[in-house]
Amino acid sequence: MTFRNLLTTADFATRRAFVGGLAGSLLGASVTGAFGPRAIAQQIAAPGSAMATRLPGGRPRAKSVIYLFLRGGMTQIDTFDPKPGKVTQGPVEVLRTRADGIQVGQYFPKLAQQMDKVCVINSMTSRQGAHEQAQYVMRTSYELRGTIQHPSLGAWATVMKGRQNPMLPGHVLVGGGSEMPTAGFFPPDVQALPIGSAEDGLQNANLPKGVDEKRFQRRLEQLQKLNAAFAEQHRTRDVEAYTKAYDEAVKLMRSSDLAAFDLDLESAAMKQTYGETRFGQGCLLARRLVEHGVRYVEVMSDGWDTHADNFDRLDDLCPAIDQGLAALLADLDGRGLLEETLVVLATEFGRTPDIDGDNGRNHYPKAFSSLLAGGGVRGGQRFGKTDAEGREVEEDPVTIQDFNATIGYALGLPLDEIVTSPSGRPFKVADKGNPITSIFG
Amino acid sequence: MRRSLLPSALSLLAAFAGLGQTMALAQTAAVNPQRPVRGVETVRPLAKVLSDAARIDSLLERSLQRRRLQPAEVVDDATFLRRAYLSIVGRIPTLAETEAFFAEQDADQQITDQQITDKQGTDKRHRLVDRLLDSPGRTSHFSNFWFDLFRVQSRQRQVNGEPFAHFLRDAVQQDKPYDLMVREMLVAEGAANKAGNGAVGMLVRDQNMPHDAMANALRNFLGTRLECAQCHNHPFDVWTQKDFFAMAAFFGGLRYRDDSLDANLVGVRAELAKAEERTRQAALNALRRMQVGIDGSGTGQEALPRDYKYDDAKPGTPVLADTLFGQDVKLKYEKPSQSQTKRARARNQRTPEVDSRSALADWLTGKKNPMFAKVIANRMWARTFGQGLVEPIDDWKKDTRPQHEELFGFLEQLMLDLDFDLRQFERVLAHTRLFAQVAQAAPADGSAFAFQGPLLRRMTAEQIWDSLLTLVFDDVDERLRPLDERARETYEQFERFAKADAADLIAMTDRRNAMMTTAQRERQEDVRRQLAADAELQKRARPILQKLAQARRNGDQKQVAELAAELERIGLPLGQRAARGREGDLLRASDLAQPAPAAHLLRQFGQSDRETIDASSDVATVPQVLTLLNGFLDQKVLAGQSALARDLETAGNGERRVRVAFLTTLNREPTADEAQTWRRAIAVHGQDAIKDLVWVLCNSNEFRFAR
Repeated sequence: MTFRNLLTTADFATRRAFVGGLAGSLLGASVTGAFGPRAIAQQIAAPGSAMATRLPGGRPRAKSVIYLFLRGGMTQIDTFDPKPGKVTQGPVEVLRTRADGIQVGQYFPKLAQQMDKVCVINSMTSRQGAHEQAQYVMRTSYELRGTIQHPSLGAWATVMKGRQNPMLPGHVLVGGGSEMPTAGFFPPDVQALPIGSAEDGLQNANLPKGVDEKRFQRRLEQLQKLNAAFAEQHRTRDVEAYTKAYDEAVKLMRSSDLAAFDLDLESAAMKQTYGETRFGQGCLLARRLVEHGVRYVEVMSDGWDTHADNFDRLDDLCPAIDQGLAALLADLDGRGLLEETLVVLATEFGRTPDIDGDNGRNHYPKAFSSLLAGGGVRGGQRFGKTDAEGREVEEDPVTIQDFNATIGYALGLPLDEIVTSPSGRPFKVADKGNPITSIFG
Repeated sequence: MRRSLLPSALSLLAAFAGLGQTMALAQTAAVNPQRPVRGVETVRPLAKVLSDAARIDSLLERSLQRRRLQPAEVVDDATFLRRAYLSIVGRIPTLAETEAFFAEQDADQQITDQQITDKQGTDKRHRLVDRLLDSPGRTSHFSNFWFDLFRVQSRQRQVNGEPFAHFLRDAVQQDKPYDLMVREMLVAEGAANKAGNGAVGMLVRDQNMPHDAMANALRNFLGTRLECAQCHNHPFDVWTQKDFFAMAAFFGGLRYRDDSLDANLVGVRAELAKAEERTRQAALNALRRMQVGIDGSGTGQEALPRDYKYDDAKPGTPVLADTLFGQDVKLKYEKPSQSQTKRARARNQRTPEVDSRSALADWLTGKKNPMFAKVIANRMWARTFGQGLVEPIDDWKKDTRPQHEELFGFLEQLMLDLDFDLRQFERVLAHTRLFAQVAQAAPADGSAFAFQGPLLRRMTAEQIWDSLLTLVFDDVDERLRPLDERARETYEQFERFAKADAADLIAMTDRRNAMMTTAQRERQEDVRRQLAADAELQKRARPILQKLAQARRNGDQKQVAELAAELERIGLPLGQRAARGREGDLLRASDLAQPAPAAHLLRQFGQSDRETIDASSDVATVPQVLTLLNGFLDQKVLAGQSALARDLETAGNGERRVRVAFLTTLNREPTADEAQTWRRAIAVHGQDAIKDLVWVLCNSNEFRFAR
């Protein structure tokens, strides 16, 4: 397999370094020094390079991203695009927030106090109304196809910016399902590290009783020998991926940064502030990981597909988000990390303005909402607008690709860079998306 | 052979013989709850199967030749053995099974097998395949396939999914023809929690979302993706939104509530009205959950959405049921009655039912449907050989052409000729030469896989878990549970509700654990007692185990034997410790909660979360590796309590131990080099080196990749 065309439009030196790095990783050599992705990233994002000067608008400042994903399709009218007094509003009351002109649904009293840090995007729009496909586009900017696996945004960020902390993975997924955001056609070592439950952290990271480092080393040496014999007959990408995963795991075990995964090092009070929910603790773990230099952390929340009993379900779903996100924003701010951490709240599509017979709202990709905060984004603003009843986007439509481009922009990724997959097809970070630069600064 | 075939069964037999109960035991031992009901050979003679298999090989070879490609070589016995077990029963063979297969070669004529004789000149590989197809492990393994496709979850929001899982397991074990199984799921009616109604599980899985249920059915059974057309004309294919609604019309009028309990409940509801608000709500909620089910034979019509934006129909107007392709369906729509009686008016209020679900089932599962047999034939091919002849397997377009088209035509016809008997279809595939050929890597450039051999694949999460269990219990398939075991509580609960009066209901829902049946409580009590007894036992065993370890270090075989006997006396024989206490967690994947909890080894290795169709994953991740490096192996496999640890213990000298370790984990003999390396390591590091060896083998790519 060759990645020779991975960065066709980068300048020559960059391309050569990039190829070197990938070749190194594919051959199983350790990725360090001048050929590591970090070195490449420095070259790509070097000040004065084409992309850094071309972009107008405010200054992107994000080093890390915390991407909170509400799986199933978050209703926008009951949350961040309320339509008080209109037929579509339903029974949900509206709260004023600390930001002028921004209202939120009744479920978010704590977050209302933090909205001065948040940019609400009310004009998200897409054509994809099926969960799997819509989630795929959100993650990758491309349509789901049988013939290719596109890299997730986290993988793009890790490849293009490298790791901030070489001892930790670039991309971590907290509380995800079985469908992983994948490395796509990138090398397997940018694959997200999944953490099933934030509270349990990274399991089995210590040697079992009775096995000391010396014996562990003996085991690894023998393992390497056996695997080498296997690789002689079967040298495939999947097999290679396991070799990389073992390297990663061993590196992690020996790393002092393992503490990043351990919520027991947080005080009980801090845990309570984030809320003792899966999502709340996920946010807390995300903050720890970002502090330790993880580039891209995703935290999942499930159950937003509220076809029936929408309002009852929101009573159950929203408090965890309200408390977790509010705590995260306040905490990042307090630690001076909000400036360099972009916090994203996203979902695959919205829900119908009309409420149906089962008191439910159904899939609605045409107009929905998401949130951005930190990383250079100006707080307390709204971007885009839907009509009076929330049926159509009226101003500044934001496609999923635009939205992902904005995240990429915040991180300083080269959005125009064309990367060629091993099968010879050209791809960009956010496809044809244009970043919303005006919300920065 | 040193070892008998089924040591545990034999020793049990011996124990029971002493009590004069040999007959009774022989009977119970014969009835494994998951053994397929019929032998494959009684349904179809092997000679026919082999002729179909040969046809597949020749069609494939001819097609490969046109591309100037050759079929790969045939693998050796060891590789074949492992592949056959993984492919058909979903786990690696045990040491005994491995040795028996190797021995069969040496003493071919002496083996007497109950099911298959040598009359037809079959060789031992063919005998193995048929033996495995007839074994209980096949039911377990194949059930996982349906669980993934139909997104089976033990707990759904409002209903228990175990009755559905029970239905699917049962369909596998009974060889229910696939067309019949699909038909039953499409037309099923009744309460989801009632025994015998498991088939409603498929539609209840998309509770209150009949459109999604239709989109999923079209995708799963016909390989046709219409989800996009729910909201707009399909952007890349020919389907329009109206086409979709014409299909959705077959599920028209579907209700997700079974009203058979209503008659009994009239009085109960009146009685409940007097109760305190909270109590009343709790009881009503419980009742509502108990009444989830499917009702309505289908009205054959569905209204277009209010925002319908195309010219061919007005928004909100009803569309009549119409098929996408193949034969038309005629439904008998009644004209609204002109009569003005009260009853007629009431009837006119509701759109009359016209059995459109049954008409859908006729069309969808009929032999004339152009897609139904193709899609399942392709799925079965993909399941056996790693990839479909059409990929993706559930997204056929108008211009889709299968690879090896002539071969594919044969497979489709075979599926029809076998009347959708999936076990017989699988049997043909497993008897091909292709099944025995060297596994091939997927092309790196994303081009189509040619099938010079099966695809080299990582084991599925379920195969990995079930294989690791095989190291812990060498009778893992004898531990398979009754098909309905996990659903029984739900069935009991439903019956209690069906008979309950208001006072019962309040009592059942008022207290915290009142939802538990007596049986449940007893079972819980049993587990608690068992755990306490185990803890007590472990406490008594501890000093003996310490002495045992000391004796082993000293190489005092006599003392080791004495201490082992002592352990047996107190009720904790060596090799059986892991079987106690937490045994409930160590069941094959298909018998566990669906899906396993998020942090479970199964989930780490990519078991589907059952949120979306076929969502399992074989991606390498760090947590998987950490579990193998530092977790499961040392805790369960090497802990001195597993079957493997027992076999290593009793294997005698270092050389034999190395052999046992290789045969048990990789199901092959060690190479001369490997044998020497580890003999030396054992000489230096003793017992530790044996454990290191097993650890290395289980962590290897050779272990997790099914080649």
